[in-house]
Amino acid sequence: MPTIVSVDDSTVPGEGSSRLLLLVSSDNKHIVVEEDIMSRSRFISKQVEGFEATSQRHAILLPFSSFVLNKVIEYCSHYRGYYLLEDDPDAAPPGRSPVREWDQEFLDVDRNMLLRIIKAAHYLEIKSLVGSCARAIADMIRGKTTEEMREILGVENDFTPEEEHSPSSKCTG
Amino acid sequence: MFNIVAALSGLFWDATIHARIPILAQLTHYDHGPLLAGTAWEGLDGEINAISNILWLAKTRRNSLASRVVRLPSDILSRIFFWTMKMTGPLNVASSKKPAWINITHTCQRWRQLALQDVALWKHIELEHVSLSWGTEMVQRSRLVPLSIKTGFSLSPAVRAVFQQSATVARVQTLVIDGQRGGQKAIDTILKKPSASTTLLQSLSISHAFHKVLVLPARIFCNNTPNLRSLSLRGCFISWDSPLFANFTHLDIGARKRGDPVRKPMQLKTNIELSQLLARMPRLQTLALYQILPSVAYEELTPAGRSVVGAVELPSSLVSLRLMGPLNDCVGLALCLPLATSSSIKLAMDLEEFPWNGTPQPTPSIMRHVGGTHRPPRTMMLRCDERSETTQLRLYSDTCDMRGLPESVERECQTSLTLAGQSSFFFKTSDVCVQAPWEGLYLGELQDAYVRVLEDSNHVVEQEIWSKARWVTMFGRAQGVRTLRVEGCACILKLLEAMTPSGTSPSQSFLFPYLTDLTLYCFNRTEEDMSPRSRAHISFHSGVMSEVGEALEACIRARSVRGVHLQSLEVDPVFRPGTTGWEGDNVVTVYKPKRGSVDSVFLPDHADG
Repeated sequence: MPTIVSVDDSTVPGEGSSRLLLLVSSDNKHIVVEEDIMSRSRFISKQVEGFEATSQRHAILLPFSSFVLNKVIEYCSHYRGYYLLEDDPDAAPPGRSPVREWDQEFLDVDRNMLLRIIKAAHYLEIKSLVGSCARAIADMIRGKTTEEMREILGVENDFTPEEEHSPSSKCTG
Repeated sequence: MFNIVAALSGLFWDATIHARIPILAQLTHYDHGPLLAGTAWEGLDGEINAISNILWLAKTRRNSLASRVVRLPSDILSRIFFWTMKMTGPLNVASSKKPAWINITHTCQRWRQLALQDVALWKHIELEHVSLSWGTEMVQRSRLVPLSIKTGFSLSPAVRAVFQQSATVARVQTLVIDGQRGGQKAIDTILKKPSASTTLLQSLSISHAFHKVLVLPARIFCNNTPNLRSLSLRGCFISWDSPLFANFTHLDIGARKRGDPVRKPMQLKTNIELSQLLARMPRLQTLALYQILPSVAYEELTPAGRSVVGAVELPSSLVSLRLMGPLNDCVGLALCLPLATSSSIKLAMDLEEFPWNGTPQPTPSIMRHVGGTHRPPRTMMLRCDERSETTQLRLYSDTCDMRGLPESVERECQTSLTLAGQSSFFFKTSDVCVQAPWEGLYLGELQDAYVRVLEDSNHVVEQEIWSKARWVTMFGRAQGVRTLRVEGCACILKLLEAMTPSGTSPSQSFLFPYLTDLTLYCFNRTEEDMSPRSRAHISFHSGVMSEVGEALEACIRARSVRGVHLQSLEVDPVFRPGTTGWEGDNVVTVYKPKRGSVDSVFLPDHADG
């Protein structure tokens, strides 16, 4: 659950035609964003519903940096008002990465940043962004051998010798 | 700080290792007998195991600390694995390189555990490419979820193993059998299994490419398929009497291509037979019939002729109908579909006779007879090779008569007309052009009426046939045309004559009074690209080119006097006055003044000369 702190109305003008939200990042940056933009996030939507139930407006503290938060806001702003087909992996055709062109450019960041974004999207429950990030990571590792994958992802081979040579592992590679 | 810890840790391990693992000199007393040596051996094995476990523990902890990827939540990792599988395709044991989603299971402990538990990775099985052990392993890992199985017609051990287990067959939700050669034995083995319960099967697709007809059993899975909704059968025979044709919502059936041997036995004989078949599938939503439509002779291809044959009642739930085959058969069937005006259906036809790419839409006349709320085509194109010329022309002369359409439809239905072919073909299209709804264009609010004529024409023998009167007859009613593109040579001379006002009197009419964009291209200039007939008369065309340029200048000047100006003009440079052939640059002269209009074409160069 996020930490919620009370804010006075002068900080968050909420009664106007364009309702605003105050998001606070883990590095204590205050970011004001239109509620409509963040409606793609189920987490934020639930928070807003909570505000309406209690008639109190709060800042929403988020456990990731302002840099990551701004990236997420950029994504949500780009697709503002669009209906996005939520990931339906079964319906996706096999073959080339189906990441949208804009998403591909948007996610052209280093590996660590990509992982931060996907975790933030997961936290905020933005399914389409989680899907795009997952596809971008999958794109990164496809066609790679096990050793190459470990190198790219910074993973150690932590199998015991028994596991490496167990009968079931023969059918995993 | 870290260095101190590391150094202390090193000292600790040095001391521990020497205490736990004796050096060789300390082991010499074990030489006294095999019993003592064996004890030392076992002791060292124990140490090795312990060290391996410590190493494994250290690596696992390192992974959980160091790698953000490993630490991702399970559901995100599942998504990554799934997309990796989608991108890299199915497992193929014959391939030397394993797909990335299999390599995932070798990366680290956590990923392996997650991947092995993730049924989505294992429920799609392509049996043709996996060994027996892999096939059974994937079935096991998919646990109890519905399976999607794809296989060919070879009875590999994996195929046999999977389809011999009733419990596995009962889990199959989607079954695709696709391949070449043989197959009868495989089909019998898979589809005739007597005791199989296939209650989960929803989609069955069988495609067979071989010169021998593959016969499917009439009672597939002993007709124990209560949830089978989608059937795709291409290149294989099944009796139309099969009880299978009952609950489908999607049916895609017929021959794979024109010469497919299954075409003859599967062809529906009459519209009545088709109607009876459709009546058995009241919930049908999409229907595609490939090369098996009832044969229709051209003589029957009129609304009157079709009414004799009888209407085909489509299920009310049908939203998409795709017909493929000879033009006569497709159009013949389309003309027998009495849809209610309120019905909306997507009708597509792949006609063998149309040589160009893409699927042409049915013409407005067809749609008028079909009824429903189809959107009429915005583009009409007549272009053909000699093989299909006659059929198309006769058909179009019947079907392109758009008179009688509601005005709202008529306005929309033709914003573009393309006529392309040899000049002999072009002459034959006169009737079509005369029937075209030019008034509709004129009355409508269409700004981009577009006529493209004669892509490859100008047979010299027929030059006498070209006359100003012919152009006027064909396009005299097409006053609304704004854009005209002509590819040709000698024919353009007469066209320009018809477009040139003969005097200053407003009563003197001329072609295309509202024309704003004109494009004139000579036909293919390289000999290899020319038609044989044009190639035989290059010298003639070389002489005409210059005349075309002069006629164009005269035309533009005369139209300017009448206050009719072009806004854009593209002229092939071979039409420049003084040109004697195709020599010179290939750059097309484009006149697109930013403001004002085109008043002259070759004037600057011509004047300089």
